[in-house]
Amino acid sequence: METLILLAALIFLGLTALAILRLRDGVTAVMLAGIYSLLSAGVFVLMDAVDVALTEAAVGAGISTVLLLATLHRTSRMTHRPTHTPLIPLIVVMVTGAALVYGTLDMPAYGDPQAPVHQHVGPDYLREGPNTTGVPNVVTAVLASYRGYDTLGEATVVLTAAVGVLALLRGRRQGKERS
Amino acid sequence: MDAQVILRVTARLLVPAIWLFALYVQFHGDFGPGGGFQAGVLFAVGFILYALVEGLAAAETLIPAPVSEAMMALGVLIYACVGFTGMAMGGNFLDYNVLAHDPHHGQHLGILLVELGVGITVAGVMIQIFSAFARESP
Amino acid sequence: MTLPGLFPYWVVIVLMMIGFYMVIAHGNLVLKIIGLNIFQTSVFLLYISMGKVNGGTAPIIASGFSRPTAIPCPMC
Repeated sequence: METLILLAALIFLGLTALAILRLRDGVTAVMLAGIYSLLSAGVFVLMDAVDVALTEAAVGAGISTVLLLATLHRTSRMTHRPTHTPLIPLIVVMVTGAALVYGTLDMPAYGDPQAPVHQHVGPDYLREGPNTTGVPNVVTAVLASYRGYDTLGEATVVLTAAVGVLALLRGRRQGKERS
Repeated sequence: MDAQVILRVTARLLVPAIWLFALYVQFHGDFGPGGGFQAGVLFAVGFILYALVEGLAAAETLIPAPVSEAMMALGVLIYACVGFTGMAMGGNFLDYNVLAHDPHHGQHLGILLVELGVGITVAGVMIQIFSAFARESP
Repeated sequence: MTLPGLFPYWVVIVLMMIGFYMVIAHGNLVLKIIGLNIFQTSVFLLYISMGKVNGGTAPIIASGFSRPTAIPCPMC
C-alpha cells in the first residue's frame, strides 16, 4: 500500500515538473512550483525523512511562493514565445540524462539494508548519538553537535544572502530617489 | 468589504497559532522533527500573513524594521559566542562538553542555544527580505 | 510489493533533466529560478532515497521503537 502511494506521488511529481516546463505565464508557474514543493515534502515523509520534509514544506511551499510572486510583480509576468526551437539544449539534456541513467545501473536497489551507505558512519551515529548527546532526534544531534561547524557556516551563508539582497534592493531605491 | 472582514478575522486567529507552533517546533527539535531552520521560517510566515492582510505599516508596529535587522546578526553572534565560551572554559571551539557541570547537560545546553541562534537569524532574514520587497512600489 | 530497484533514481534523473532544461533554455529569469528550484528538490530526493531502509522508520530514537531507522545524513 505504501509503495502504491509512493509510486503515485513520484509520478505526480514528474507530471507537475513537465507542466511547469510547458508554461509561459509566470504566476501559474509559481503556483505549480508551490504544488511541486508540497508534493515533494510528502514524498520525503514517505521516505522517512521528516525533518527535511518539514523544512521543504515551510520554505518551498511557503516562503518561495511569496517571494517569487513579489518578484513577478516588479518584473514582467509573461515570457515571449521563443523564435526558434531550442535544439542544442535539448540534445545536451538528453545526452546528460542518458549518461546519468547509465551511471545508476551500478547503484544498490532502493531500500536495501545492505547498501554501502548503511555500513560505515550511519549506524555509528544512530547507536551513539542519543547516548553521547542526550538528544533522541539524531538529525538534530548530527546537525548541531557532530557537524556544528557546518551549521555555523550555513547560518553565515543565510546572513550573507540577506545582506546581498538588501544591498541590491535598497541601493536601487536610493539611486532612484537621488536622480 | 465582506471578503475583507473574513480575511482579517481569519488572519488574526491564525497568526498567534502560527507563532505558538513556531515556538513549539523550535524547542522540541530535540525530541521530534524540527529545529532552528523550520522554526525561523514559520515565525516569518506568521509575520508575512499579518502583513499581507493588514498592510506592512501595521505589521511593522509588531516587529519594527531595526529589530528584525538586529535579529539577523544576533543569531550568528549567539552561535559564535557559544563556540568561544567553549574555548574560554578549556575545551575546543564549539565543544559542548565543557559548558555545564556534566557532559550530558553541556550537550543539551549547547544544542539548545545553537538552534536558538539559527532560528533567530532565519526569522530575521525572511522578515527583512519580505519587507524589502513589499516596501517599495515600482 | 516493493518498488522495482532503481525506479526512484530514474524519476530523480527525469526531474533533474527537466530542471536543467528550464535553466538553460528559458529566457525569463524567474522561470530559470523555478527550474533551479526543481533541480534542487530532485537532488534532495536523490540523497534521501539512498538513505531509506525497507521497513524502517524516522531517525528519532525513542523508547518503544526498535525498528531499523533511515540514515540521518547519507552524505556525511
